[in-house]
Amino acid sequence: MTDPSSHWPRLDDLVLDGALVRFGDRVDDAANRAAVAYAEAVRAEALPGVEEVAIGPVSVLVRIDPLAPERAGTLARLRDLLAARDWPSAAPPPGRRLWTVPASFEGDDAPQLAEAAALAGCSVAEAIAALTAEPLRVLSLGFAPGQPYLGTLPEAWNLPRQAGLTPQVPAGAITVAVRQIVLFANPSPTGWRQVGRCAFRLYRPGGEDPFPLRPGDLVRFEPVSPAALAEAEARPDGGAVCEAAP
Amino acid sequence: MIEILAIPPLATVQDLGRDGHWFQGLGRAGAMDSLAHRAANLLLGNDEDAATLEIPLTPAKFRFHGRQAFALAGAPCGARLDGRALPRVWAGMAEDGQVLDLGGMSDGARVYLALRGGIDVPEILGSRSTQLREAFGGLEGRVLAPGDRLVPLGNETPLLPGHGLSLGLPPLRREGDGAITLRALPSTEHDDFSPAAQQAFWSTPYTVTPQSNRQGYRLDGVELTRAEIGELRSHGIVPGIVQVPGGGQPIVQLADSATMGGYPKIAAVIAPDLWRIGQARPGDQLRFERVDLAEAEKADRESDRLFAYWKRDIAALVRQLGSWT
Repeated sequence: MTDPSSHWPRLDDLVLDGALVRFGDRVDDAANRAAVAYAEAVRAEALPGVEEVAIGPVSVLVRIDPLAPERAGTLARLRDLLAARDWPSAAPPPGRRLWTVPASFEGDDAPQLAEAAALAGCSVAEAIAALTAEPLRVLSLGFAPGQPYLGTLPEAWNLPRQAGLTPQVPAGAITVAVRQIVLFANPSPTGWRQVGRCAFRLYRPGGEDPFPLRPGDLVRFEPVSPAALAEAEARPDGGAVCEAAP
Repeated sequence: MIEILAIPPLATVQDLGRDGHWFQGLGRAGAMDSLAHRAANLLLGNDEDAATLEIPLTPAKFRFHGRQAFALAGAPCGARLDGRALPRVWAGMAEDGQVLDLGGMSDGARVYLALRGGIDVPEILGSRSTQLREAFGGLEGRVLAPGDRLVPLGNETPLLPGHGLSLGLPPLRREGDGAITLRALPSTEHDDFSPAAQQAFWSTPYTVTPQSNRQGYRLDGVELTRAEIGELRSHGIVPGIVQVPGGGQPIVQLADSATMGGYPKIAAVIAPDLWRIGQARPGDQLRFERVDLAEAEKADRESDRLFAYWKRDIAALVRQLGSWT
């Protein structure tokens, strides 16, 4: 279905689901920056018929009521907006934050770290360094409440998903595949490999800010011992601290 | 107040769902049969979105504490109030100490119990629906158990005739058809499926398997193969989307579905027919009928019209009752 001669960005009219705006076909930070900035601009327009604006790792899905009479006009405005700026060079969203999250990469907290390191062609120590050295971007939220897709990891971490599913990883599981980390909000089956665990709670239904992470935020994992993680569990946000991102 | 004496394992408090957090990864939840949920509320003079109790596959039993208005709608389940048989859709008064008995369901899968003003549970993120996976909303974020007590938000007694009030629900199946027909639009990857698969999907029935719950129903029927196999990126999914994993057997995503998925989407059941899935049970057959956008729009208008008629009829009756008192 994909036109090989197509270039980025592109807008596809999905009819039923609205409009899908893609800034690339592989996960990278520039395409994600573009997605975050474009989504923000679309929200600010408050176009008629738009039900929701969802940010994917390199795309924005603008859900439009397929039966809304203003649908055609809204679609035209989305195209104009897309052409109006060089989105990958857009500034980061205002108020974005850097989260430092204590995480254990040892023992039961990291059942597949050795396997993942071998696939990435490095030692376990090098793997931990690669996963924690740089802050990662929150590329998008999804699958479960507040659950982030983080990236982009170096090319060596372009690991396929496992052929089978892990029956259950715990809430807080740090998992890797396709140059990304997914941090699990709930216990869940998954095809991604678990390489660590943290105690950060990704949604607080009763709280003022129910979903602490936002696309564009930065997250850095700070390696700690399993004992230190156990201690962090009792602290607010599982010991995660947040500051204004540089 | 109403006390639960017996209840099946997966009964939850639901309203019309939690909108607006899909982008943050939180699904909608909400009543699986929103039509019956609305009917039960309207009969009591409630807001359509008021929280009701969703009861899957009865039997269940309740005791009333204090005189109280309530309504029932959904699957036929031989409901009895202190032994007196009630119509399938009914609103009326229960006296203190009376026992409401819901028997086995002869057809359908869910029945809704409404109280005046809605069930009093906290509103969280704009809704009172239970998010089972996330364990919040509804009553303490969980399924109900014997001993639980539900309190109505409203305290005034609605105007109801002594013999109660009823209305007609549309039939689950078309006349003379064993399968439940669901109108659907082709979805994003529809054309990637082989012509034979497309043909089979739109013409042969699919059976609801026991691997079916509020998250989705796994179906069983003619295997659906894709002509074009490529790695798909995760994308947004919404209730009604029919996805086809590697095995070729479709899954319909429902009220508690995750917000992202990576399987190809062959079709999307139109919103006015989602309630029919909520009333389908394991073993039932579903048939997908292809419609276009114009037909989907017409179906939307028809369902709006049905609600408008219900409201008009109920309002007329209440006016009439008011003039007698």
